[in-house]
Amino acid sequence: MELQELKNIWNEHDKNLDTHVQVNQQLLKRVSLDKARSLMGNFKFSNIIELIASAIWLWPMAYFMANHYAEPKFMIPALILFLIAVLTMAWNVYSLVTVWQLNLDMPITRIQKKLEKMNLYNNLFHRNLLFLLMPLVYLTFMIVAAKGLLGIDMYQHWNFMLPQIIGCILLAPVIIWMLKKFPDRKLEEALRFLKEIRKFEKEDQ
Amino acid sequence: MDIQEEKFLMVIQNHKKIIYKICHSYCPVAEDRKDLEQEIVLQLWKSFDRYNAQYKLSTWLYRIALNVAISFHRKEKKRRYHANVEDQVIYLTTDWAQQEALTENMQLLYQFINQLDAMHRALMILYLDNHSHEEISEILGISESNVGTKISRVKQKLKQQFSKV
Repeated sequence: MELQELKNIWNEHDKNLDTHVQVNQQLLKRVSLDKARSLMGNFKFSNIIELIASAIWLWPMAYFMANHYAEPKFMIPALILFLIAVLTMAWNVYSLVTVWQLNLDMPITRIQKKLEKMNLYNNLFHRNLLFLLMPLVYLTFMIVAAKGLLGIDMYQHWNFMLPQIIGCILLAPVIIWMLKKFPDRKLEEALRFLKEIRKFEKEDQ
Repeated sequence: MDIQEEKFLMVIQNHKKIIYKICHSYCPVAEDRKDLEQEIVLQLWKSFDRYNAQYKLSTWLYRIALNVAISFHRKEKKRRYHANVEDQVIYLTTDWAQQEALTENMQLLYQFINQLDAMHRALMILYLDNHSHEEISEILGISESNVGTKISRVKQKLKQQFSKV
């Protein structure tokens, strides 16, 4: 079968659709009014929640830093937690702005690349970066929370702290190994599709 | 209903075949098709105010519908409920739906389209809908010569695929 024959079949089909395809006007009106729904709804929602959570988190950290600015042993862990929250917020704002600026009436390859890059970076940020930062967050959080909430100086309890630090140091390579051993399917899929789009865009010889 | 809504309903009415064909090409499963149709209509409505008259209305519509269809197709949506005529935006009249199911050639053609990857599927729909290389390149965002090369490749693939038909 030739492409022209397929085109003829398609055209014949198209003619039949003229008379046999109907539009459900009532449902169409209902769907059109449902403006709250969106293609990236879940993505926007999770980013807004993260943004709010990080913003809330910044206040106690700022307060703690202000109270301990002369004590680097407390100031530095709090600053690390503060910066991680700022980094998360910056990522959330960037993601939301990118999604809100997305015009679906742009060429297919351009939009699909944008969407897939968002997907890819989102997975990289949440899975790889935050996972890798976990041991650091755990240690710094323990120091700040113990001092801020209970007034306990964890540096005075080395018998408790030392195993925690060793545990975290050992955990870091385990996390890296696990990330390599069990790669994220979504991440791989995003990379594969980006490769597919680039190949599609490239002029064949 | 305001004028804008009326205009929009008219646009959907006039381009219903495009939405129908794109949904069928990206969603072989009827249950998913309903969701895709609704998503396309919704995104068209959301973008309707921004329509740029320097492009043809069909170019604008193809871009949005194909972008939504490709994203939808990639999301591997779970089926939530079964479709029926009442919750389908665009549907076939019952008598013809049965007749259409028997059209072997059309089934084969949709089967072939469904085998293509997401981007080539878009190219194929536009080609079969008699768009020029220039229009296809404008909608897809690739060069005209690239469109020509890709169509030749599809022709070769087709020959292999349908050599026994």
